[in-house]
Amino acid sequence: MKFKMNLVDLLAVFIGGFLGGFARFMVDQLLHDSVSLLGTTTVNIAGSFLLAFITYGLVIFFDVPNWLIVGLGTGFIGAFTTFSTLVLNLVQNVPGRPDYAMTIFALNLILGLLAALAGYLVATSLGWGRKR
Amino acid sequence: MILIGIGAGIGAVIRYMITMAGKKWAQTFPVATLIINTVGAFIAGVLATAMLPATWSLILLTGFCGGFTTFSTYMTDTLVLFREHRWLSGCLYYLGTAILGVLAVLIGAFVTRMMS
Repeated sequence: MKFKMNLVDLLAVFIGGFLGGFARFMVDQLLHDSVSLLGTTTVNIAGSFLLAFITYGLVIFFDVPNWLIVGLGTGFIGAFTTFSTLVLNLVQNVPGRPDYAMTIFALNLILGLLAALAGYLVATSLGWGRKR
Repeated sequence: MILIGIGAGIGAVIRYMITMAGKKWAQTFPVATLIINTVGAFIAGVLATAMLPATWSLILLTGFCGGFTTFSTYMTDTLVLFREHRWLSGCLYYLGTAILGVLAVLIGAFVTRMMS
């Protein structure tokens, strides 16, 4: 498969990233992420479910144009979730409250993977219902 | 607030370009996302230590770094490796990204402190 980068895809990724980053900021504000660290945790777990669901569901069972896939997946969900804030939160909070910081970090990794698994399972079970 | 979105959008576009380039020369292991997340964590370590004004911190840290790095692809890539029964690659990627990310933040913070 050869990947061609065109302007429409790039624009879709930018708009998706714009909205995803903005939505993450809103969730962070709502859940007081700078103190609770729960905003980043929420977007990461929700986003992991959604990306697996989109990758295995939307893309495989529906005929979706490429710009929509990359705009939603790479752009929106990719920017909605964040890795840099997650590790930064860990490093910044370990000196003051190591137990809480490490628990939150571990929860992101464990629940994130389980959420991706759930997204995959939901997408494939929907696909089975549709195709057979 | 719109500037956060612009930062995140630019971050996402650069991530997309690196991922596309990565798919050409490394097709079996998600090296591109690993590099993106490690580099993004390093930049976040630098920016967080540099004591930026609040507005710039929001644009560059929350916006650009947040949009450039990604957690969802990290998890989905791990799932794909495990689903293909590539247990060693999966574990290496899963734990390796986390460890490199933490190290990158620490190194970024250290370098910035040295220079200021």
